[in-house]
Amino acid sequence: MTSLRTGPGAPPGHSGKRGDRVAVATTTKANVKAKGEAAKAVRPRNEKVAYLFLSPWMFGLVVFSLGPILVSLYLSFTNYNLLQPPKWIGLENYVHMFTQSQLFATSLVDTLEYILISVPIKMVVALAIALLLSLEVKGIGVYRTVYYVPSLIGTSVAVAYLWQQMFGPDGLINKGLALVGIHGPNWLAEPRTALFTLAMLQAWQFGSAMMIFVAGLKQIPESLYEAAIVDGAGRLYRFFRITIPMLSPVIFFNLIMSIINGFTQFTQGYIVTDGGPLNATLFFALYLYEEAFNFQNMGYASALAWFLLVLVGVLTFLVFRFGSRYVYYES
Amino acid sequence: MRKKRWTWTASAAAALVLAGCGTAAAQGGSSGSQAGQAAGSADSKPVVTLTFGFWGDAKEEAVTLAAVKAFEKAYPNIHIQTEFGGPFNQYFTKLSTEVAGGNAPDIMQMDYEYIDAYAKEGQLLNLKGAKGINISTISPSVLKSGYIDGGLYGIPNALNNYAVIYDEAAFAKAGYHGQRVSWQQWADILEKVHKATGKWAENDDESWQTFGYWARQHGQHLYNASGTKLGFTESTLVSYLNYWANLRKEGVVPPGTVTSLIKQTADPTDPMVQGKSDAELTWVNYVVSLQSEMTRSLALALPPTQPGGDEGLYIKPSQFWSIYSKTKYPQQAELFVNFLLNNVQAGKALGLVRGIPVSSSVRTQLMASGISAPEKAEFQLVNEALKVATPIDPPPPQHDKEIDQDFANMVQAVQYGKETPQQGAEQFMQEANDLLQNGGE
Repeated sequence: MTSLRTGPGAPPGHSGKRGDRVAVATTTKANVKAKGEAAKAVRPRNEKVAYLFLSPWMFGLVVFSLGPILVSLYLSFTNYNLLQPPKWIGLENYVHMFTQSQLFATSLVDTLEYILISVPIKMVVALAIALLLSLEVKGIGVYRTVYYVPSLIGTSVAVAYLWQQMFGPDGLINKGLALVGIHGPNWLAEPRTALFTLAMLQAWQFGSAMMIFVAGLKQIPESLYEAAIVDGAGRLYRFFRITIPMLSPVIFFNLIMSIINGFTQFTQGYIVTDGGPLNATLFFALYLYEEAFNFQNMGYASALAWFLLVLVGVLTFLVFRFGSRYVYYES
Repeated sequence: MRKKRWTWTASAAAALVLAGCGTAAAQGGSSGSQAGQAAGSADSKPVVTLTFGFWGDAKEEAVTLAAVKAFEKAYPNIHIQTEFGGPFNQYFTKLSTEVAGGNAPDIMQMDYEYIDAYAKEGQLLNLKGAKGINISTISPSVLKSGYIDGGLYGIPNALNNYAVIYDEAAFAKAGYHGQRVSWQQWADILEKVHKATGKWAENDDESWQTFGYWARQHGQHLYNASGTKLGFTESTLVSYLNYWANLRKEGVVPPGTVTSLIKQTADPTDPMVQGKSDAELTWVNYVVSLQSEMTRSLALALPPTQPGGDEGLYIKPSQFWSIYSKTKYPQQAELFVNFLLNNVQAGKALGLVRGIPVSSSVRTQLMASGISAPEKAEFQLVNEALKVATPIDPPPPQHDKEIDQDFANMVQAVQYGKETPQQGAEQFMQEANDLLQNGGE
């Protein structure tokens, strides 16, 4: 979200983030002056109150997130089948993962393929619709809401079932294709089309990315376009030379979020295709789930989870490292 | 290192205890309010709440809930809080987590595949000599499957065996009327049915368990006696895969692209339910669920034989009723299990959806009171099977689930033509043996 605020923000007339900071600074000073010495005396008690209010969240964090996370790190070095107490086996789980498990490699390749297909499509669709929705039309709020809806419901079980029906051998899609004389493929039963079908479901959930694009587009100063028009720049030229560069921090943010989101996909693969056919949609998270709960290899599954964490961390780092060259910050 | 390890275990335990407290408190709360209501009425005995976990399809869920209702009517002081776990895999996913957290249901449905592990880990109550459960109505040979190391850890709830469930009218066109035939004759019949109807004559029913039936006919088993190696030869597996590959080639059974979309027997993804296929080789109890999904009349037959081979057919306890070793109310739990097994009302409610009842008295009373057509057919078939069946294999070893999944993956690769039966069998057997010997971890 920071990229939004520090991005090529501010409406015409303001000088972007520097202006914002100045504004914040002045208000703080004013407050301090008004309250005088009293403010200083109150401060320590305020902190305690803050911690008091934070405590439910802190409790939740430690007990329900941090605790299990650390336990899973421990479990990743054990053999644990849920029925018997965990047995320490050192790095064996990790060794098995890299040297003996074929499905581990399969699931990684599936997930990467899925991300490579779905993320670019999602980004392009989100940006295209964001451009349309940033037009000043009557009732634009309604349109924005309507286009955002898939994002809210897209990960739900119901939509997964809907997708399964739509892309079934006699589903809506194939019936539609039959009307124009095309014999549709058996989408979910062919390894190639099955992954593509799920990638489409992911791309369909473009709403969040779209809303962030809309916000980003609103921040681009109108004066830039006006100047470009005066100079005789065409629509396409304006899009590639003004819109894209000015929007690059937002694109960058959306890209990273979509990649991380792609790695954690579970519901679609579980419900729509159950990892099949021929393990073509065995996403990493699904593979992890099967190992953990179907086969009760909780130790090995914990190791998989930690591998995923490191992998996503490394990939995000790489995107930051090489992607940020192309990002334009106005400062 | 050791000290650190202990700390982690302790923190994990603490987390589990905390989780356990949450549920216990919630349950206490609900039973408390019911106790309050009961105190208001004439009955002053406190209400006890028991949790009851089970799996199944929609039909199994409905009949089980009906039996629970009958129990609550008969014993107003016991409230049964049901935890329907959905299909088999999901149920055991949940149950294993609950057991690890120390808050499994008081009464749980158990399966032959898991009972060994659960009993050996001390999660199940030993019901040997339990006063609340009348086992005199159950034949000792049936009860035997519930014994582990001399203790009785589950009471079989119904009897089941493999059967061919087929469309009576379609198979009549091929002159077939339910007699037991060899695999070769069966293939010929299927082909005739296929030609007569233009539909698939049978589902592609390849599975780890139906292959177990095939192996038994060759005097072999899925596992060796100690569960440390596979118990069949490669040629046995290849012959099985080839049998189905030939049927697929003829278009008698559906291609892999159709079979891969089946989620569960008797659900809307089953080609039988869709009316695209006319037979299925599966557990006999599915006839009730399948018949309730269609108007075509279904009939039953014993599965095909291997001429010159052994009798592969065996009777399986469909499932067990087991009691959690940490239950607070063992007496009431026994009462409930006894009701499910021996009470006629429960027997009527449950019907033959899970297989035929184990209690001889319930069986006779059910027959006398009139049962539906598919139930009658099921009854007769299990009786026939009882006459020829040979003893069941011992419970499968650990890693059976993974091997089952590997088998399904291999079969699918063969169905899609990615592997030949020979290649598939070779690779699968190597992987499975590796898993059995090294634990795969």
